[in-house]
Amino acid sequence: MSNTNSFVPTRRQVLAGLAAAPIALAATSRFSLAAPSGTLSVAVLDFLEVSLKPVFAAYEAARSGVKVDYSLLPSTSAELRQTLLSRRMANKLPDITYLADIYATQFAEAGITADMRNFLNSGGPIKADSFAKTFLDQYLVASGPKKDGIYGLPQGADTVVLFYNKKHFDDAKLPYPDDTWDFAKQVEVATKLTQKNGGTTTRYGLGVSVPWHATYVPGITALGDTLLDDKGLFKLTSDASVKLFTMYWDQVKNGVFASNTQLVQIGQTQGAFGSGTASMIQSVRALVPLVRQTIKDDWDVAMEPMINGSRHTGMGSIALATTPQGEANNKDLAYDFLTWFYSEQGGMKVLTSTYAVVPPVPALYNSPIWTELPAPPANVKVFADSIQYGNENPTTIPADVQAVVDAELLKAEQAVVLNGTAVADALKTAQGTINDAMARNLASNS
Amino acid sequence: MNRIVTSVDASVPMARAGDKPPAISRAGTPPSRRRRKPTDAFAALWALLFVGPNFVLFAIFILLPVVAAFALSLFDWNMIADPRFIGLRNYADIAGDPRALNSIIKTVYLVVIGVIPTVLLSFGMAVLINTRFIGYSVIRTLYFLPIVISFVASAVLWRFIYDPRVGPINALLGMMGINGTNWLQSTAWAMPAISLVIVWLRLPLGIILYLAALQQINPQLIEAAEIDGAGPWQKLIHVIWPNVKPVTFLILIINLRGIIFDSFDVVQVMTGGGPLDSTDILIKYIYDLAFAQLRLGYASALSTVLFLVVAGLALIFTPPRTTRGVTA
Repeated sequence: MSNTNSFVPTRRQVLAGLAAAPIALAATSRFSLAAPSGTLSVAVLDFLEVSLKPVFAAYEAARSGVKVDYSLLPSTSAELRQTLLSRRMANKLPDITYLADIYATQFAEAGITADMRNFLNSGGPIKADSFAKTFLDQYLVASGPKKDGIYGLPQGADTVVLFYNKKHFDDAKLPYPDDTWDFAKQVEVATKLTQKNGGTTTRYGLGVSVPWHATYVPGITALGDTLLDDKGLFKLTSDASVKLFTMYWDQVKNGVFASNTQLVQIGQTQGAFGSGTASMIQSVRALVPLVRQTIKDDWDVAMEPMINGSRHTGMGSIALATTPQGEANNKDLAYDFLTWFYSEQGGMKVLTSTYAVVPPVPALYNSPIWTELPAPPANVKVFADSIQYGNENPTTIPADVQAVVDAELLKAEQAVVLNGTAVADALKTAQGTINDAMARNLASNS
Repeated sequence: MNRIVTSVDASVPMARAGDKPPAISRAGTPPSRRRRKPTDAFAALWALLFVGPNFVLFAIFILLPVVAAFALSLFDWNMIADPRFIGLRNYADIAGDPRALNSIIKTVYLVVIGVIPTVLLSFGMAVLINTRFIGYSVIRTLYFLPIVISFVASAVLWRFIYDPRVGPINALLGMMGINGTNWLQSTAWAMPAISLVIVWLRLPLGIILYLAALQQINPQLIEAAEIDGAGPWQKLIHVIWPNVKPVTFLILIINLRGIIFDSFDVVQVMTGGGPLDSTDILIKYIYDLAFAQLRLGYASALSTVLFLVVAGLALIFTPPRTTRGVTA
């Protein structure tokens, strides 16, 4: 028989333990019976502030004793990463942060975002299969130390659709775009809608950012190829890629499509469409609140035209994720907010009322909370219908390399449009620089 | 006109920054005879008291970052993985980086077409508004207006001015039957267009400094030149210009540094370094490297090189002086 030290509590210890138990439960456990309280810090992308303020106000109203303290994040790639990386190094991350899909892996590896499987598997009503798979997969890390983790929950299901100015179509006596449109038809109509004064275009038929992955990735797919080769390197000089970029840049040279640099001059796609400088634009649902504020004419949305007989549309999303600090210090409140946020009567209801999102939750695709909003846009069904054609940017492209891709494709566009460089040559130059960056990134990470 | 009086042969030479003031009290006697001469330790204490706070701030915000940037330039670091020591490889990479070389060339180009017009125009305008005429204070205020507008706001404003569709420049040219170009989308015109904005932004400071210098010129020098028969142009070249030469060097170095380091906002807003890298100055490239590509080591190496070049130019234009005012 061995001698063990057994613990025999005294009566006083038992009483003290019983008295302390409720306090300990309330303070430490998310299974506490008490309603969540305290301050939740959220870092919000600056362009979302207008649509999210009512969401935070509604959450505070639904949870007395809770205060949401939000801060703004710059939405440009360089400044966003700089801000969050600096805050991570200073140990000043918020409980929840916003991010865009292309940063999912980088932010995960940098320790900015936490693995959202913790939340999805925590027994609450929101699980992984609550979300549209294609959008949740954008935050699924494919390789590296964080492989198989989910480092963000999409706020909306955004696919690219065609915004069009109904008055411009009416004035030109043209029928509105419909599901039968292909690229050739789009060019034909855009040409008729374009207005010029001398050599200068005063109204573009279409505003489209060609060096944006949501434009070229689905186009290359529709032409039967992929953006990356088997080794994960860019193949911009493939036949499909050259053909796709030529299709767009020919129209930029003709002054029918506004190029990326021209769009910057005329207030980006939303500014160009809002001011009537572009009769059509290719963009996403997130732009709807801004367009509604700026445009005077009647307008609507339609499905993206087909290319090569098949329909693929660009997609992307912004997301929320808890941070490691949030998980460590304010997990209960953060999880409660996320649960409320994705509920039909919670954040989704408030957010959809601003026209800003298509719910990323299939159960809400046909919900009246967003399908029955007053027009414009009247054809809201398009936003949900186009999700099935969504074609995402490869998630294996590191965010650092994506910055190079964006810059080099912009230069390629300028070389073609301004200098008359052959499309294949411009893409070859871009491909060289991009793949150098890819190799350098791989070497650096190894 | 060889006998025109200049500051060199003037009876009262202008004091130069750093020169000791004459040690004569108001009563005309050396201060040592009127009060106790402070000990060296006491003087050092006072010096420390006055210089100390400034030095602490200078060390925290200037010296330490410079040293840290140099240290960082010896590493490969992306703010995510651990920094990896690679010695001088970042510096070696600069020579083989065509975009870095292009950026250096574009920076030199911007400096040439930015600094020289700024100095000459500042001088010319200061001379013009140094004369008193009806409403001169209003005119002076208008000239100084750009100094109170932020660089970013100015860049947005000028982007509209250059707009080929609705901008006033092309509208004006159109009225004269000239078809204006797309200024910011032309590889030939984008940099001169940016330079014009930068000159406009930097003129007020130059004018202020030149005005102060002009008002320090001994009127007797001007009168002497007039007595010698000098006309307005000769007075300008042989009397006024030599007397403001120290300020010219100051304006030169301020604008040199300013154009190299502070043009980022204007370039970023107006062209983003394009089209086709035609306005991709070094500071813009460094920003892209550090914050878009997260190559902090390489960006620091380029920053260090830029710092050394600017420091070298500053030493050339304003060499340090000894206590006797003799260049070292």
